Amino acid sequence: MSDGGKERGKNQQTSSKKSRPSGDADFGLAISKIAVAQICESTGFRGSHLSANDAMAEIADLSLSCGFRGASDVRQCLVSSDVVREIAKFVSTEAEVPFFRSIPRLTVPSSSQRLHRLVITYLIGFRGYLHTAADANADMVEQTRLQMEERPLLSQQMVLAMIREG
Amino acid sequence: MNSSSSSSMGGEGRHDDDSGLTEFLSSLMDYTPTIPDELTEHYLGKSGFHCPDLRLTRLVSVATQKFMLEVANDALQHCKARQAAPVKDKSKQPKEKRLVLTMDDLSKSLQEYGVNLKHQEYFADNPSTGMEPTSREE
Repeated sequence: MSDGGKERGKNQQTSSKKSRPSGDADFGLAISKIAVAQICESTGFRGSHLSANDAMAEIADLSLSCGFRGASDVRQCLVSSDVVREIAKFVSTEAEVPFFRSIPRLTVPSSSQRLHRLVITYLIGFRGYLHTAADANADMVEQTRLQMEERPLLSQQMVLAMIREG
Repeated sequence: MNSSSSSSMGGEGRHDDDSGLTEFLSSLMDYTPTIPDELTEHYLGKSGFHCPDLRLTRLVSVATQKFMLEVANDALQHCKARQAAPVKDKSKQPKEKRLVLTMDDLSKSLQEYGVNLKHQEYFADNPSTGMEPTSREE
């Protein structure tokens, strides 16, 4: 299976650096690509070019973020909207194609010390935090910083889950 | 009397709409969309929308899946039409007719939905690559 072609020359490195998304965007896009591939397979496709699959995944992300124009009108009930009627018909007629595996949720550690370490690990990514961490002792901070150099930052989703758990 | 009857009919109409909406949203819980709820919640959160009601999350997932399915179906039709077209050079004709999603079919399909997706014809190292020598000097 071929992709859409590769950039060559010195522009390759700079363009790859510019277009490289953050960690949580990588995660979302990766999941979107799999979901889009499943949707394409359900229609009858037996393969896909990588560039086409990537483009479809980006459009799915845009649809999830931006929504659909004309779907809402304050002057009428939602159910009488043509868009919602079509969605209702789709739900009643279309066969289910669930995502191929469940996405694991981040489990927040129960002990406060581990939670403390996780929060510091996340915050160390912000520059200048090492000098403003009030509760962490210097050894723990240094150890965690050295570990962070090898590991990527916690994703935004993991931090939000931690904050929700309180 | 007329006003009371019209108001009661209006009330009944609203009641029907509410029950229809409740029934529709409940039906969403019985349908598992391909797009996971976690992914939809992630993108809704990025847009600034936090909703604890899973039914609304499912509504967005189902709407997106429906849209992607329509695009994929149209692309499939373009693919089948292209494969069914007679080929001049039979040596170039593929042996097995495998349905593969390509950028060409996808861009044709998306044009109908107002999305302009163009695949680059070629990649060049610099802007003057491929130009005539005289125009390059200019």
